[in-house]
Amino acid sequence: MTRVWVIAQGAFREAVRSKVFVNLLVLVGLMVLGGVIIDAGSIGDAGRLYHDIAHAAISISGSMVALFVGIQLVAADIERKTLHLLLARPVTRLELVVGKFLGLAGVLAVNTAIAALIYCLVALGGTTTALTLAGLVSILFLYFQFLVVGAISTMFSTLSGTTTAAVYSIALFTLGRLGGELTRMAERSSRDVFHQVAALARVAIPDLTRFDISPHVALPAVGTLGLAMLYALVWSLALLLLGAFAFSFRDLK
Amino acid sequence: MVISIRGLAKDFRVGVLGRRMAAVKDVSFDVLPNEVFGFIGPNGSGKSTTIHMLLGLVRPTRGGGTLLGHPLGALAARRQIGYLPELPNFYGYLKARELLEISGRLAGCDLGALRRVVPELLERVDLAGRGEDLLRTFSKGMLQRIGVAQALIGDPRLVILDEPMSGLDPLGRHIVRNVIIDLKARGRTVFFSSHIMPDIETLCDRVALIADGRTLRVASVEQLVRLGQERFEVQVRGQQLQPPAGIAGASWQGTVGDVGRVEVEGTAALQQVIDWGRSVGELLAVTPMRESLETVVVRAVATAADPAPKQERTP
Repeated sequence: MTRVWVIAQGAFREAVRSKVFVNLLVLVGLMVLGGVIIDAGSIGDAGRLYHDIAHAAISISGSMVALFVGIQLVAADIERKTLHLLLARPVTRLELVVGKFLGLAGVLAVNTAIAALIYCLVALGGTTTALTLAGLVSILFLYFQFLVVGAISTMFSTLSGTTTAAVYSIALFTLGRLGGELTRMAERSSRDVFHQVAALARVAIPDLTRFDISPHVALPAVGTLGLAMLYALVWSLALLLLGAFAFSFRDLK
Repeated sequence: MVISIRGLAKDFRVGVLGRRMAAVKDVSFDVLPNEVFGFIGPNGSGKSTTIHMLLGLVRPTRGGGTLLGHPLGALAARRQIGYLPELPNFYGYLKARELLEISGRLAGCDLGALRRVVPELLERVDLAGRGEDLLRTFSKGMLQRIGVAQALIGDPRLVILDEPMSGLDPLGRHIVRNVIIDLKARGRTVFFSSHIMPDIETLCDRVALIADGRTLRVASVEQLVRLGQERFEVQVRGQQLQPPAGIAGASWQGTVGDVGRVEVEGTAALQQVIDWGRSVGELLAVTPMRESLETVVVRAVATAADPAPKQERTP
């Protein structure tokens, strides 16, 4: 457990000391402030645009951290040969993958927490933008989505180089964002083949739209929220185990 | 045995079509406890790939062996090993102290002990006072030395150093040489690859010479040099000396005054040259010519025709 923790700390430290992390937080700040200005200029339904833009900013920033830090986690270390030093120590490849992912989860938590803090402070300081519990819970669920996206990019990072990992991660992320919609479309079709494809997609592609909770409506039931959390944990674990298993056969030249 | 490998081979798949490329074809050797063992061979001969197979970073295609009594790459073996990769690349965002602490904690050391050991290690590689500097500010030689320091953390039984002298100035080489000598004095085993033959000659008890992915020889430095030592200089005094004719392996070096010099390769040719010297004048001296390890290695690699390894007697 100590080794996993040490690797997680290293991955966390590397990410938070990178310029990308800081730049994405600046982007969130600018977008949230932009939301206030746009919201002030909108007609009717005061505060709605602010919440939408702020949530979009947090979602974009978190997804980009999850994707671009995730694909670097193992692949870049292999390319730079920094991984040789870690794996020459008594560290299993599973420990390495889990440790790296936990470091990424920490980075995502910090990123989401800072973004949420900016969102709350601006909302509390505004006159038309009331802070709602649904708004905060929806940010928590964005975090669960980031974990799944991070697990996707970490898995591809163990299988290939950074460029290939980026291509596959973005592709699966996109399918995941469209996944629910595509499945529903296929299910409405009268042709069996679409039903089979939908069934396969449900198993093979994580449905990232499960984590979309509107800040404008009443909170879903606790059971629904619990299931979404469980869905994120199961998918993250499955992706990491798959990545670690494939990585155990990979040669580090 | 600290390391024992037999018939180790590795094929990599390269290119779009996955063409097989043999990086290591047949490497076998044993490393005894408390030895300083040199691993030498030209660039691309498979040294680093072999080391990676020892550590489990690369899976052998064929062959196998043991490391500290465990299968190659086993976790139990890696607990007792320190490793310096060739041209080490470290996380530039880390401080030198942080790198050593991370390495130590991964090796199973507790933080309290590390706080005591890390300054000692920094001093040992002449980096005292640089512990709080980021590694991205370090020169190539300093990175090599901090790499050696991280390989020593946890007091490993076996230290594997891949080209430890690479990129070091004379002072750096002196430091690393002393580290290796000290490790041996403390009963540790050192396995290192190097292109710098004087270091191999000075430090190693035995060496394995590989070329084209195969072991050519496993022997002590003395044995290797002796094997290549069938060269002699013959001095003959005489009037108007002419080169010896028709003796294969004899090379006329000319005269100084009335003394002629002939370099001879092989004992059969030597006897012929001695007979020739006695017939044309006075035989002054027959001196064995000591070859450098570098010459022996260059010749062995160039003339390597028999892929079967020749395992000489261990000391």
